[in-house]
Amino acid sequence: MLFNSLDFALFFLVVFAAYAALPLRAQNRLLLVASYFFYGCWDWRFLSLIALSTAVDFTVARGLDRSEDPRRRKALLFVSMAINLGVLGFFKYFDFFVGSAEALARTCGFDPPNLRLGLVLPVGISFYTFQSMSYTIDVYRRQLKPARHFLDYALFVSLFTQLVAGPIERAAHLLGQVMQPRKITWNGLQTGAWLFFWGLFKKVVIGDNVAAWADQVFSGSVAWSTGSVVLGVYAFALQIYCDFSAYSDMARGLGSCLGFDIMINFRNPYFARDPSDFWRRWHISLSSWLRDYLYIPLGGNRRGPRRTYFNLMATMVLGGLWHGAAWTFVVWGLFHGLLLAVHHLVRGKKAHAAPPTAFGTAWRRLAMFHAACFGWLLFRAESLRDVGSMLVALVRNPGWSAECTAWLFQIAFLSLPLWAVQILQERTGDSLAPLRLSLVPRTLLYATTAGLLILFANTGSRAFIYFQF
Amino acid sequence: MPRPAEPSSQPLQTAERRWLRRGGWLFPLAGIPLGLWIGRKTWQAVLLVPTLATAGFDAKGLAIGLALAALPLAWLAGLWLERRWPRTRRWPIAPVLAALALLFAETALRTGLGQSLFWQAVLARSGQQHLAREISLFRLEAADPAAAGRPGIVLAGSSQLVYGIDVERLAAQTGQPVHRRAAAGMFPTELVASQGWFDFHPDNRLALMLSGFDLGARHDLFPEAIRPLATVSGLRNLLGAARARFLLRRWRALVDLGSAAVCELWRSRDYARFLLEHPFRAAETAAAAANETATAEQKEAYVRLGANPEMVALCQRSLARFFADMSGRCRQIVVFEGRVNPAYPGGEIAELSRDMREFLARQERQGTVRFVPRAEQALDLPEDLWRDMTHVGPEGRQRLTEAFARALAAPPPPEIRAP
Repeated sequence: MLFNSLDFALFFLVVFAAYAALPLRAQNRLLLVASYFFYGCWDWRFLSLIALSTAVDFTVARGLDRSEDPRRRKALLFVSMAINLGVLGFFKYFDFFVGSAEALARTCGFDPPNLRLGLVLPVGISFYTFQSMSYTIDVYRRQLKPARHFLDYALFVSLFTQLVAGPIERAAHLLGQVMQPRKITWNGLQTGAWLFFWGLFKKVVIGDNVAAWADQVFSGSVAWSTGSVVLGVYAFALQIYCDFSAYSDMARGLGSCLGFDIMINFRNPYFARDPSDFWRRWHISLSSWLRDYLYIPLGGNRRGPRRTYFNLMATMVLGGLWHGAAWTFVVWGLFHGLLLAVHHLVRGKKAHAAPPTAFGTAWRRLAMFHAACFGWLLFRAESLRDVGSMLVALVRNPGWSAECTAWLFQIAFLSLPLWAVQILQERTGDSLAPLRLSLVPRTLLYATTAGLLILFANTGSRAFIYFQF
Repeated sequence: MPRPAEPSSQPLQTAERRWLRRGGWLFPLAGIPLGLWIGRKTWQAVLLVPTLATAGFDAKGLAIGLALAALPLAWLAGLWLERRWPRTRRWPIAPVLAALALLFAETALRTGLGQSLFWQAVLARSGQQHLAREISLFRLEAADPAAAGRPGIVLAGSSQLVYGIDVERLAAQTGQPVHRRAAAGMFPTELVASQGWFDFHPDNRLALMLSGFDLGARHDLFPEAIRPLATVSGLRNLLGAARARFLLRRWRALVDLGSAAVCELWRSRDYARFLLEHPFRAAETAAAAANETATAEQKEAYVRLGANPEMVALCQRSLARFFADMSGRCRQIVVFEGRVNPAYPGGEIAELSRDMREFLARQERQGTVRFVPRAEQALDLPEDLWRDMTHVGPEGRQRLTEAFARALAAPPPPEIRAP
């Protein structure tokens, strides 16, 4: 059940009507049932995995809270990590690693048996596993008191608004909201309606439409030339941002309507000035998770430059692998790790340099955007061989077809409201700035986006990209 | 518990006021020339060729320019309103105004000028995409007020009619204006849903060509084919003929088609996308692929003809409702029994043709239509006169047009109405 489907509209209306009429405890039970139903619509068999993760982490956290014995606490944490990462690793990486080992064996002249299981990846498993793990680790670190009621904790893990594609919420932020009374307010509804509407616009008007060009280019059905590759990469950069940030906006919007405050996951990442800035703006919930639970425990930047670079690379490679079991993701992670390391190195040397001018800032933004685009080429390509072929075509096959012109027009036309809103958000530093505009520009914005939605929304029910992660 | 903060709009609105003070004069300065330029360039942009209409002063362009010039005044009025009565910010005035703006756009698109601009733009870009060309011609004819005022023969149906009847020759032979309301893929479900485009004059004669092929060609509701021509009266007849379970299983398509029936913006959305995809030149490269797809669909239809008996029954029931409704809105409905290439494969076609013949004969007995069966057509279309399994070639087109003209020229039989 996609957020951009009529089924979901019907589902949410029913849930919201019932929710508004119930007291807190009943509200939580309703949301839990609704969330399991929502997830079960994809594949009810995988509900058992959420239930397993929930039960393990709830039990382990209570044990961690009660115990003062460090060895027992470590053992409990190990149990939780082993089960969570075991399930995640089995479903997500088993076939990948076995397949890679088979390929290696074949290149060495062996004839290995086919051990791949052809597993189906449970939708959103990486998201809820990380969310649940962060809770256990926080309790282990005594940064958080465990949940008292199992159902409250189960709702924290499975809340349908952000269950399948994040943001990866922290218990410190969301669990408290689950346990305390919530109010449906006019302001919350207004904000929620705008966020959902804006997310819907980004997803079905921009993301899904530009995806057609990106798909054609990356699948090779369009001849690779400078024009087609550059435009294909731009299209994918826009697609992945509009698709993923749309889901986050819609999740926040739905949460706001229900009285929850779901964390911000994107802050205009294509306005980033450097790699560190990019990761403070892109998929914030994952990058902050990796920072808090991987980079800092590895030592962060406290153990000298070499160790810092290693930590950055390791964190980004694992971050890349989190996205999926393919070598392209590993290389994408390596590329971003390298960018961060180089930036760290350069920043260290220019610590006392004067702040950049407006031109300098614009130049940095442009450079970072193109660096991110290069990353997307690695990320989206079907294989590393395709990456090579596309880069060769980019350099050796200059050309710009009439089809490229038409697509450039389409991409620019559809994304105009996006850039207008992002510039406003960036200048004000306020993600809800469109709501604060005065009557006329607000009306123009609503009318334009609604008109584009009616005329150009892609109704093909294309799934969100990050569902596969 | 953290909550989304109450919007504080003051700093942003101060910035807006400052920006208007600094740059508001640009709107009248640039707006009027821009409006005049838009007005002058409109036809050129629509038709993709320089035209005489681009020359000279254009009052519409001036109106656009004045509207652009007045924007800062409206903007300031909005700011003043929200400063004077801050509570109005909590009211959903902007969404209501946006809805009104969309209503205005909807109304503008429905006007003769709006329809002419839009569908001429589609036609200019249609290239070899036959469906875009046929739908745009259909809609341009439907939007022509002069044609709508002249009663004549309304020719409705699928590509068998589009490629099988020479409209000019038919008009010459019958001595009546012929209004073409046919497009590829207009099988019974599409035909019934399009009813609103046929009943524009009570003295019209509605001429159809239906065969067993039409009865079995669709295996399910096909919203993409119905949407561009959906009308409220037509959809009412189509859906009224369907069983509740059938409708319930297709409720998403019904929402889509219902929106298309009442909202021109939604109805035209496939062709708005078409304009976006071909902004500067006609669809050339995609044409071959589109025509190939049509051929592939046709081939599939040959094989799976009548595969869904539920759809065959729905076609008959909805056609019955359509005939009953339309017989009161036009002078006469003439149904010419259609045919396919004698070499058409499979036995399904014979059975479906018999079903269709019996159904139309029943309708004639009820007095809703005048049925012209093959036996009365005096028309011979051997295998070599067909372009493919369902479409005639040039010689076949000539013969079919003549037969059609003879059928339409024949005096109507005395009215027989069911008791």
